[in-house]
Amino acid sequence: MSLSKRNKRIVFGLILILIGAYSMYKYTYKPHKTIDDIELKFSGNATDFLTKIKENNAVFNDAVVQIKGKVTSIEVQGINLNNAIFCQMDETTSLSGLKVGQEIEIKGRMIGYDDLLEETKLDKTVIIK
Amino acid sequence: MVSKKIILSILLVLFCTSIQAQKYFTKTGITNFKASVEAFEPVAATSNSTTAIVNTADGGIAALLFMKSFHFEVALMEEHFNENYMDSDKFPKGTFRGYIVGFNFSDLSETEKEYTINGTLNIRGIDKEVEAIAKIKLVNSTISLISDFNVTPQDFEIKIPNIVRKKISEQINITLEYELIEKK
Repeated sequence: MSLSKRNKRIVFGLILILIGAYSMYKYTYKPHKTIDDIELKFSGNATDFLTKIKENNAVFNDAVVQIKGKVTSIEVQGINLNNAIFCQMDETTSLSGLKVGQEIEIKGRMIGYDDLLEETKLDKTVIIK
Repeated sequence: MVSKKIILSILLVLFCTSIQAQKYFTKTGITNFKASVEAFEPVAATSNSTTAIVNTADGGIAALLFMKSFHFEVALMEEHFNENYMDSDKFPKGTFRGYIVGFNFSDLSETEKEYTINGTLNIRGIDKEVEAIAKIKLVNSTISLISDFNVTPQDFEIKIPNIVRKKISEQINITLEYELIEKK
């Protein structure tokens, strides 16, 4: 079966529209970035992290950071590291098994410096070890 | 006469210091934002990391949230919210400072009571006076505070392009649900 020139154009046009619609859909409903997609801007221990934050408290805003520190309290939906960093856990991360005083390494997104409570706030936190 | 004054002032100082430390707070308060128009895709987001502090001695209330902690169902909408409308890199925070009118901690019980909250909302560096009705109760030494109020994009000089104007409601409804525990 051979298509006439006109039909070929229609088929070609339809394919283009489909591709366009599909890529538009993909763009509009692209998935949320997970912390693995966002650039890791800091990796190290909590004291170094806090010194950097002290110099400029917005330096890691919206960046992913990986921090080693000491659990100083276990709170609602999260933990506090070195009495200065509140890590709100990712919905899938469980707090059970964590103990105050324990050394821990976490990875999370820094959302900002909370000047009401004077601490740094992370969310989407996962426990590395 | 003089000694009476002294005793009074000592009592006053004692009284003040004893109530000073009464603070209830949350770091994971829920703030919702809704600007949906029927028949279009919902324009709504939730932040579940709002910090809020209530001073139970005088009814003072302060809240802080980071714009980037708002989570939208559609990732692209979240991007537009942060980049085009809120300038979240330039103005990362939204804050509220105010008072719960007629607040008295000893009046709280497991039955919800309605209070008026008056205060200043600051978004994109712009102050706006707001008044909201809040439902407050005390259950198992947790203060639960539920409230909602409306603002408009113009209040904070947020420009909405013509092509999307019909898809974003004129009134933006903000609802809050905070579970506050005692700060030790």
